[in-house]
Amino acid sequence: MTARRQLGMLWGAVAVALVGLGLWARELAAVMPACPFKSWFELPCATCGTTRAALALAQLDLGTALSVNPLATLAWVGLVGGGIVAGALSAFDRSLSFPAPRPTMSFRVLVALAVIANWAYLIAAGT
Amino acid sequence: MNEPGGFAVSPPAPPEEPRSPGNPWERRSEIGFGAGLIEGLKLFVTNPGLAYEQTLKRGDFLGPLLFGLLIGWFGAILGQIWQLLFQSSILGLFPVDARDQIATYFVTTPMMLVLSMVLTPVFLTIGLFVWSGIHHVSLMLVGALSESESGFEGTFRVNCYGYTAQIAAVVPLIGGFVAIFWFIALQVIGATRIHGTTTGRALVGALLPLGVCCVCFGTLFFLAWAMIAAAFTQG
Repeated sequence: MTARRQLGMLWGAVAVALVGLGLWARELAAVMPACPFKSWFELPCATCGTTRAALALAQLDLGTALSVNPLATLAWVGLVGGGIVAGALSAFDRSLSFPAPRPTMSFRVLVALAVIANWAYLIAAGT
Repeated sequence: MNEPGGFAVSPPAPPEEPRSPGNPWERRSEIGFGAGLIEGLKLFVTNPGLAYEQTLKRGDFLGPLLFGLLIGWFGAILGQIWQLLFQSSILGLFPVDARDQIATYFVTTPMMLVLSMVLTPVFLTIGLFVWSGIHHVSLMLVGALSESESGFEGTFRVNCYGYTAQIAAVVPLIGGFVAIFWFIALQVIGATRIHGTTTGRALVGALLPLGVCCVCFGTLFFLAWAMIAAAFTQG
């Protein structure tokens, strides 16, 4: 099995595992400790809401997920959706083709701004 | 170019760089599964620079994943066992009114231990894949991948073999925290060898996800140091 096919299978397995764990999302989330940063400083950290976004996505509630953490929601959707596509392609022996852009300065600034803007939103929304 | 005799003469081929046969774990089909695991682990503990130099830059995902899962599973279970045995001592280090809050981070039950034995491989696989993705984006952002030949596969290998740090869990109480710092060190060494980047970029690439995405880690580190400081003060 080629490395690309293994990657597709692995990504697919991770996506399926995440969807499967979604059935016990509430129970798993209940044993997660509260965010210590938020407990101490009364401000959300940059990843606050990731668990709640996952819980909302497990119930296919995209609107709620986006409202609690937009960037984490996009990441979850990309991870699970991409994994299902990649896994399906690999299962049918189709090779994955990933764009591998050289990160330009503008790309790096864009990613950094996305993270900062997302964090600012979390603080403003009191997530 | 043709010689008078009619034979084609090709220019001398440049000397090829000898290719590594792989680290001991990657040579397990030759030396045996157990020997590959033990020798690989020993090499990553005693000489991680050499271990990552020997590591193949690409080839497969499942071999490194299996190594990471075996070591990670061992470390996670051992960590849970220590926690089960010593949790009352750990909680005793904190003021009485803070114990309930701290307990949410430290308390383990025998049922949780059994559950984690079953679920740990699943969580480790998800964790390795997702963390490698975050680490890869971070390395990309700091320009550490400009010379890389192996792309995401290389970062995945760095992290899978970086799980060697999980054996720090053999040390009770502080093993888990030692493992975090050790893992970061292995990520840095691995990224320099596998992606051919500088130590500075590899270090920033390893710390960026902790600093930007997971500020919580900083707070947890603070809690850990407070606990250790309290232990020394009381002792």
